[in-house]
Amino acid sequence: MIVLEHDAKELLAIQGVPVPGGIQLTQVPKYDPEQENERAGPWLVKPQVESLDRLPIADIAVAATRKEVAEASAALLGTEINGHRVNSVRVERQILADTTCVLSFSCDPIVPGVRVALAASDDATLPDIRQEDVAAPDPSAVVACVNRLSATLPENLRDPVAAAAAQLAPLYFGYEALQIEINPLVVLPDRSWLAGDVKMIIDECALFRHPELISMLERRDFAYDAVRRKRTFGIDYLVLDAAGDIGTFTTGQGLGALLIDEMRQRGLKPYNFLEADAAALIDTPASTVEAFHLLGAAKGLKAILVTVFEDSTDLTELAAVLAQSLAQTPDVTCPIVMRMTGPHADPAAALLRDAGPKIEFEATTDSAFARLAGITGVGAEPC
Amino acid sequence: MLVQSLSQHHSRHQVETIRAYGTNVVGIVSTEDAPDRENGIPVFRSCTEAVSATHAAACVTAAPPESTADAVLEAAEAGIRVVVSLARNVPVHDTVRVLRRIRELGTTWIGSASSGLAIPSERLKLGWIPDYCLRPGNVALVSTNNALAEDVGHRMIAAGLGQSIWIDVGNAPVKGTRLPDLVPFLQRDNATARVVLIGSAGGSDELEFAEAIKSEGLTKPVAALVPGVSLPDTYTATHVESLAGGTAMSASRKRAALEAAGASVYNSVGDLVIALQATP
Repeated sequence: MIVLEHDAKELLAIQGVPVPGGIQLTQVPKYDPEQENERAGPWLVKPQVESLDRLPIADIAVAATRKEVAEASAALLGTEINGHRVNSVRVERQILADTTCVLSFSCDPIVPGVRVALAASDDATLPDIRQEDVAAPDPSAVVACVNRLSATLPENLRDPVAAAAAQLAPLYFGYEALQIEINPLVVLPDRSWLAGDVKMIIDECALFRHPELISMLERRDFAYDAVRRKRTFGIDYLVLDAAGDIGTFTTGQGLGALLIDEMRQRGLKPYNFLEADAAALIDTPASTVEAFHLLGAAKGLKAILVTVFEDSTDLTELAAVLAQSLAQTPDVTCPIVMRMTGPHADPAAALLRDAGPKIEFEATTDSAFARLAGITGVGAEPC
Repeated sequence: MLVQSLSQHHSRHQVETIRAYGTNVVGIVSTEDAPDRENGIPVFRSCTEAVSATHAAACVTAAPPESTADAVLEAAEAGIRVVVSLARNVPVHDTVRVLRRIRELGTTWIGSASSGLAIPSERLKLGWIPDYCLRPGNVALVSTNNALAEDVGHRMIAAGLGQSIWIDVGNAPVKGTRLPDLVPFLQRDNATARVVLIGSAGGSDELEFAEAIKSEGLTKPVAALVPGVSLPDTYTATHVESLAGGTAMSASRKRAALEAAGASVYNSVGDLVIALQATP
């Protein structure tokens, strides 16, 4: 999972990594002209989103005054960037520097090991990037690699890069990160360095060994919608097309992804991707309630498609959870088309019918699509 | 074969299904306070003890995520040649820490997060692949996506097709065996006439497989299914356990690479199975 830049900088700063001073805003600050100080800025106002892609420069505002900070925050908060809602912004002092470079440690799944990448400029093209894989899972081997690679950098960069590597390599292993990238790594006139921007990806599977990371996520759960849903409910959820008219709910990530592909090929308009593990749904019925709440809150849906393909899960157990969850989510008013494959599928369908929810069962994906096409066809109104 | 770290009721039931399929389970390795035999199978306290007594060459480990890497290493050090590990959510750094040593020992690790390996003609099943998906045939089914692979297997059986071998390498970002590692075997395996590849939206295995088709000279026809074309690239990178590759790992790019390598890429399970039927 991606750690938001603000949180990554806080985590690294606690460990002594130099970062520009900054604060996080979750709402537009009240502007008081009397507090204005023309010489306090400039600041950068950076939206915080759970996206792996670097933010477009256009989404980062430069604010010379407090008034401009308030205006930039107002313009960013609540918007969507790369499909992710901006729940907070980081306001930090803008560092103007002539000398920058890039240092990145990332997990190489093929070696496997650590891929060290170093570039003399933050706008380096691929041939300018010095790159080497380190197989030994050991900070000193990573630092040695950086020092080898930096031998070809301009002389004024070598000491700051070495200092950065010595600080960051132990943190890469300590946090069980999948990537720590400093871009730009700002070199100051006294040859000290500063992490201008931080991209940090951590391994969700290793969180159980990192109470400090869990604590951060719990404190800031409003900023990590996707992570919260995954950790609390085991749900992967993404709105694909706000104008879509079919909600989807599947068990199995690959099946869910293929289902979306096939729906689009047939001219159907899926609204979302929602996937959860069937066994987890049975163990945690609140997950199913959450899933139906998400779909019930979606505007413009004409139908919901639920697909279940299970090899060993008893579908009667899952059906009982689905029936209970639908009873708790009256906001779900659309017709539901369901395809269930797996052990005890027929009694599971009977159980759902007896429980009352209005569900149309289809034996194949094709017939489910045909049914959805009929429901959502020309003239059909949203529920 | 051995079954390691058997502790949950579900796992015990699955062992019975493996035996019922016909696979010879010669021992269970459990450090828990277990009886000397379970359902007639001897229980050992370590892999070393089990291998010494049974000469087992293969092992399925049902260890929980936090101890999977060490369990696989223990099996490799005991002399096991093939280990299938089933747990999902194994920490990446754990896998990185042990994988080189496991390779040095000459052990093949299938997993983590694998649903298993099966050779239907020999009634051999290491893992939890459902019996109703398995039938002897000449198609090697390799996947990073067990649920989708099972849907394909299920429909293959219904269409009268079967598998020479089934290998689900799992969808962990760092894994013991990657899809391209299988290409030399697929080329030389006489029981395999063609290959079905079931991919995932995340990871880069499919891209590397496409490269390996060319570099390793795989001449057998490859039919592939790679879901996720309709998902945004940022989704596939963030949520499907892909590493720091971002858009480089998009399903569209994988499909294009596979097609450029000569593979036939299909849009649905139905289309794939119909094509397999048409070219026996």
